[in-house]
Amino acid sequence: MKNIEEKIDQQLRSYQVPTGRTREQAWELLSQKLDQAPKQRQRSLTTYWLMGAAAAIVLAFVGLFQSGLFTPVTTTSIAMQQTVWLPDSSMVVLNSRSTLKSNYQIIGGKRQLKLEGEAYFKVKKGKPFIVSFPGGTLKVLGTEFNVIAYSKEDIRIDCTSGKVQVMVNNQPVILVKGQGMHLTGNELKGPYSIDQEEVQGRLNGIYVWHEESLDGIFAYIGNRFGYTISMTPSLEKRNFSGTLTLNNLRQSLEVLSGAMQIKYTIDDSLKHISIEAQ
Amino acid sequence: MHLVADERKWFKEIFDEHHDYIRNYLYYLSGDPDLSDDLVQDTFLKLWEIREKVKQESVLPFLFTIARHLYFKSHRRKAVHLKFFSNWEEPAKEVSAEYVLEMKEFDHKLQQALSQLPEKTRIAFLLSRMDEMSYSEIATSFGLSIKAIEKHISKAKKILREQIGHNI
Repeated sequence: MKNIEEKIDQQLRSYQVPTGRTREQAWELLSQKLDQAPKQRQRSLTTYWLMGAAAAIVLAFVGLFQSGLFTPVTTTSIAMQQTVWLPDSSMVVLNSRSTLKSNYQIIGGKRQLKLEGEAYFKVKKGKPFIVSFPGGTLKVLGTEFNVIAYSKEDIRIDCTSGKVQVMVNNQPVILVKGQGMHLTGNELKGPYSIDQEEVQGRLNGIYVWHEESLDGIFAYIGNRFGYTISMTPSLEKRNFSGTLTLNNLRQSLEVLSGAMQIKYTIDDSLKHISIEAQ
Repeated sequence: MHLVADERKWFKEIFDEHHDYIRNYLYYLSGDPDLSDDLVQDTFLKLWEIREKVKQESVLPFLFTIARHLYFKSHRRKAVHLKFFSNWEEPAKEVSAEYVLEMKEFDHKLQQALSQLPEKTRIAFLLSRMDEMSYSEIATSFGLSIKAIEKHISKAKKILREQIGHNI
């Protein structure tokens, strides 16, 4: 027993506490702080006032520039689709009820866009092309991809060519050609493989679902047409597989209700759809 | 009134005398070397601010109290992982690979066992063994009796023996 204690003591004597600076360096640093301390106290009220004013002016300028930076490109209404050509001849197909803003810098040539809603992008190769949307951003160089981001709770991104770097929910995701991802709330699915034709089919309003919960489908339909949804909880996790043409709200609901044996009621004045079991 | 130059000289003496104790204490408390480096600066800045009110003989207990307060103001008590550097010299005669491995394992176990000691026990034991503070110095620094410090030290020894002893 004595032996162990001696061994421990011997080892302890050999230990050094890890530190980033020597005592001399620590004193140097502390002296600098001491020299600064009295000066701060002598600063007069006028100085503070001037500093405040200067800060306000800077902020005002920054604010002006920030808001001016992104100029609206276009906004689509329900079930409308619009093709937009950007200055570098990149193409964006804006889907139903979506807004696109752009900030193309002439110097530096950075390409920045803001999207709320759904759009298909065909990006010309060149400087980084950055799209921010509710709940995340993504960066590409030259590629084709589709973004659905009406709200930060439900984000779908599919890459049909090249490579896309996505940042959602503070997590980086890299998608390559033929891969997609889906974020619902905090749950991230993917990257999973996708059928490219299906992604491009969406440009014609044709949506193919694979084992998708009604919850997810109606969240998307609600966003696309601008309706709020309420649903009997027992239906939420029921899955649907098949093709839906989502150009007309009533037609889409008719097909879904037939296939899933559900009943829907649309209140157009409240912009609300309620879903129940038949 | 002190002259400013005299004050600085006094403060430098205090700093040279106590800096390492406070820095090491902060490390035993937090297990975070960078944080300890920063907090020891803040501790002495605080002392400088209130220098006129501090009595010479109570400076060290005062510094420990400030350091402790600064740490717990912004941090919750959590498990620490101490990582000391070992600067033990290799014995002159050739050592076997087996011996080196054994020492490494011993070192690892010891550091782990030290990290797991209860906070007060850990601090009393390390200040005594590594900083060679006397029991009475530790006792006055933390407002405890010498008896209490003795208890902490023997508790630490017992735990370390149990944790490490079995496998040697």
